[in-house]
Amino acid sequence: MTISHEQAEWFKSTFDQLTDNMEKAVLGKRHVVRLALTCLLSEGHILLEDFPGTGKTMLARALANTVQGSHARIQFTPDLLPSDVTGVTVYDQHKGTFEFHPGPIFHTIVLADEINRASPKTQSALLEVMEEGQVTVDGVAHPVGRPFLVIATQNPIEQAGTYRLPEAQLDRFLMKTSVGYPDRQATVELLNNAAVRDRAALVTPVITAATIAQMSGLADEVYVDPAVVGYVAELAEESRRQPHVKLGLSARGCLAFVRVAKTWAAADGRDHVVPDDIKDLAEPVLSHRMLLDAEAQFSGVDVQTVISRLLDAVAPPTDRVGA
Amino acid sequence: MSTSATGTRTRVRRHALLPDRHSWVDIGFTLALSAVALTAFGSSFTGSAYLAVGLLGTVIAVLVTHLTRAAGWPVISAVVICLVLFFLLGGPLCLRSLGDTYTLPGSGTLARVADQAVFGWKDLLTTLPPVDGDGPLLVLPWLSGMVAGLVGSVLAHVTVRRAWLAALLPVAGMTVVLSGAILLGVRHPQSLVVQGTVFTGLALAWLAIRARRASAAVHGGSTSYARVVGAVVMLGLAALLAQPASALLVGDDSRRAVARSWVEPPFDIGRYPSPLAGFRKYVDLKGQPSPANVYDKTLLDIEGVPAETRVRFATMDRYDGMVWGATDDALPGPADDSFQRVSSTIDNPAEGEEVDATITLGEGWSGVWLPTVGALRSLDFETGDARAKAEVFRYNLATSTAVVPTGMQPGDRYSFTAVEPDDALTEETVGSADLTPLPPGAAFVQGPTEKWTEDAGTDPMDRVLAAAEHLRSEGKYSDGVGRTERIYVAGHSAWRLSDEFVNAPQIVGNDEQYAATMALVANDIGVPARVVLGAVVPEGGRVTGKDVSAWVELRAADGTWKTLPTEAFMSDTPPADQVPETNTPMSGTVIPPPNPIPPPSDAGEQSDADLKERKATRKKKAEEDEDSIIPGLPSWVGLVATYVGLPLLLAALLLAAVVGLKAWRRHRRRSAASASARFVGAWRELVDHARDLGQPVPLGPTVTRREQSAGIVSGRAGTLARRADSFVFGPSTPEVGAAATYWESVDAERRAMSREVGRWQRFRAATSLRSLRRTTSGRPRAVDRQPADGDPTSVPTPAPGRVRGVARRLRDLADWRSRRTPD
Repeated sequence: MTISHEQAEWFKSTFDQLTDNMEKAVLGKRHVVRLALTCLLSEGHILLEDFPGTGKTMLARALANTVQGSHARIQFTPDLLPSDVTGVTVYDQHKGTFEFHPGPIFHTIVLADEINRASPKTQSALLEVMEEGQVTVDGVAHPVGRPFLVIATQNPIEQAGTYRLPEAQLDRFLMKTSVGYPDRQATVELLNNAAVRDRAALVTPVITAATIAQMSGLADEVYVDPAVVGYVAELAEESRRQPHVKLGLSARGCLAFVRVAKTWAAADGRDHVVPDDIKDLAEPVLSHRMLLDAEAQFSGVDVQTVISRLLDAVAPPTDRVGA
Repeated sequence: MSTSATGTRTRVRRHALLPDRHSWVDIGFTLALSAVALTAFGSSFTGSAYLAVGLLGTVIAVLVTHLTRAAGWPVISAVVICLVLFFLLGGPLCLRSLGDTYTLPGSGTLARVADQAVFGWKDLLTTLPPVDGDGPLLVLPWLSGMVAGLVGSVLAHVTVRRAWLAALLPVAGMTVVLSGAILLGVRHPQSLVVQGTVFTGLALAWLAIRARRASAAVHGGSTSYARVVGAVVMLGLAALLAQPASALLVGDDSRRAVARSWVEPPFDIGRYPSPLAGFRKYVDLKGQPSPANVYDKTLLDIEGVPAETRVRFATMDRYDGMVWGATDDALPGPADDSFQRVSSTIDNPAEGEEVDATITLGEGWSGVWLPTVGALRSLDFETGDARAKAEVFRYNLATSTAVVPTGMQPGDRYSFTAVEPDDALTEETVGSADLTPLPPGAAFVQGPTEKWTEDAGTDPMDRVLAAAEHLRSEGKYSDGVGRTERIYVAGHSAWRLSDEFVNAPQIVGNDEQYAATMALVANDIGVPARVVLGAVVPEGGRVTGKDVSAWVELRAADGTWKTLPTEAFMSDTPPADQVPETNTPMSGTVIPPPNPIPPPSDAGEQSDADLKERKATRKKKAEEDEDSIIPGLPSWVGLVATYVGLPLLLAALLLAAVVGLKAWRRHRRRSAASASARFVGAWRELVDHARDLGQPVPLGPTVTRREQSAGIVSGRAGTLARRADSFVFGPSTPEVGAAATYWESVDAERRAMSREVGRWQRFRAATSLRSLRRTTSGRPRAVDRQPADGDPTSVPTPAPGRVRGVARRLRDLADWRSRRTPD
């Protein structure tokens, strides 16, 4: 079963509507907004890494506001406990039973602000829920529902008192991207409307959670030609062969790649994935999944450089397989 | 500049002792071009010693130049060292034939090397090629090779501001060396086209490599070997294409300029009296005393040839109204028809039975003429100052006549190898159809010729034979000796042959008058003829004056010369006694020959058979070339058509080939086996069209259609790229019909793109080779994988770390847009 042209067009128009809505709060960052929405519709999670004041939280809140659902914000601190995130089981004296009190993770959209400030133990509390969409407390699994999106932020320059996210945790994020500073035009517009203190409040819900789930289902049905699948596989293999790379693209990463590419293609109104989708999404999907060795740092090689070399090393398909 | 305690001294830049990669390339090309240039001497020297010596000179010069450069010495030091080595090694290498083989040459050797280097050029140009391959003239290729090595290696490292000039200088220098070698060569080298093609190919390849190197050094350009290899392949193809065309463009030998054509040999055969005019020194004076008479004296003793062989003293091929004489320029225009110096071997094209003979001159011989048999192949003087005689010895290939300007003396002995062509005149012999203008003052033979040949039909040879028969049957023989025969004076001037011979009541004369008249009559009839003075070898091989005779040689249709023996046109019947009718004092003694008249340059069509044939062929070909291109139009039209039209035609063919290649490529893409391949091909067609239009389209195996569409200046390129992707990567299998529709869209877009530019740019696009180049080594450039606005079809923005390349690409795009100028 493949998504039809009409469904793809509907997907695109809805996606654009969501993007336009979010742009009321996040000025001049359409691409990042689309990536975040893609993450949401792919049922993945996004990690925003950027300097303070670039609008990470604003983006997360705008995304939460645009969906008709609940959202919560968790400010990660070193003394934050896992139960503060997942919730706790307390004894109800009236009922005489243990009752589970869900934590802030049980919302449609969760903003994990400055996630690297929490201890690894607390960070690990997110592993299960991000991967399986459920929290297990005292042997009882508690689903968080659909859609579910974690938007995590972290500051790349402040290292003191922070705990670097483990690779397993990073792999749970579908994408990692940065918001970046606004351009001049966006800055001017922002300053002209300085009186608006909370721009995220300008964003009103335009889509229901059910529609989000419906769009996710449609995105899953986008066709991926074997040639494109082969391109992703070759990129994964090549990522492990690249110099200075200690950890290349995992199988989970490949799956995420294809999943996000499908949503990206549907957002473009297409019922199929093209190699350009893969190239467009390579950096946000791969950057946090590739671990470089120590020599790379001394050689001045960063992840972006490696990804650029990777894309230069693998030729995208120009024709169908077997044509 | 660096300062030391002892003062200021210049810091010279030193280089590595081993050449770097670029230097190896320059050295290789210098050696190769020098070798090709030196092969121009191939037709001037026998053997291959010239090439070895020349290449050795090049290697030494290159080595010296590199070492001095590595040591940081100035260029002049390399020149000085090469000069010293030139003299030091010149003797052992080039003067071995003269015995100068000492390692340390003496002053004599040095002087001889210097003499050959300065004056050898003229000796080479005035010597009938090929000269001895181991002779002293080897100094010339030795010097040329060294100069070539110096020019190539020095100019390859000259620093000039302009990159193109730096690339061009050594190539131009080597081209000058080649030009010099060609000027010193011969008119009809055997491998001119191959030599020119190889040299041009090598020179262009070197130029391309140096230009690319200079460009890379100055502008940071690419040094991709793939492009260099591609350029070499293109050069090879161009050379292959040029091979057939060069046969048309280089012209025939007569149009080629060699210094040999302009250098006048320092010898004038016209200074010497006609031997035919002194014929009466060979006649029987019947007892009258005359010290000059050699009737019964031995002229020569010849060994190695049978009796009845004809020994040629001299060939006289031009009549000037006074005498038949030998000329320096027997054939019109430049040719190997003058008396030239020859080496011990002679490259004589004549064919026939080979003979080895030895001649010892007798007491009756004197003068500059050297008796020979047939066409010489080699000659060695065995007595006297043999070397001096060999140095001044000259030979005329066209007339097979030899002279020794310093004169030969009784007792001189020499041996030679020659071939005797078949010169027998038979009934089947057809006379040459070439018309030879009647010499000035010889119009008197026209009337008698008509009269003598009126019954002989129209065949020229038949008419000649009829005239000969008439002379033989109606004429009488007299040497003018004796009281009653003194009226038959010596000489063969127009007066003597007219009033006193053909128009006289009685034709009376001896070999001199008969042969002179017969040759004139044959020329009048239309059969080229010349007079030969010589002797028929008697039994025993001793030739005396009484054996001397004069005969006529007629040119046959096949270009060979046939002998018309004296007996065929001369009577042996003495005239009836009669009283002299004139009181003019006469004598039977030898009458001094008239003063020779300097030979004019427009001699008749007379030469050796093969040479003549080659000459006639060239002339005919030249005439046909001029006449056949556009009959009836001036000759300059033909020249323009040859030198402008043919290159244009060749260029048009090449351009047509490019257009045809693209059409064939389009056809293949359009009719690919699978429908998806047709979509892919259609998109590539659009990309190639944009490339041919000069648009900065990103190329390479990692560039997608969408990224390419960003570089195409077209309103629908992005849409077409999306359509192609949707059909190729879409869920449903593409159909042939959809591919055809897509091709129509691409064709329409191509036409729209062409309409945007002017006619000239459309022509350039149609004939551009850009899209025919493979781009497998390319990398995606100027395209970002993250469009800023999220629109995949919009023009992408630079990716991190690629800002400079993208900026250049965008500048290119902007430049291209601004350059578009519609008609």
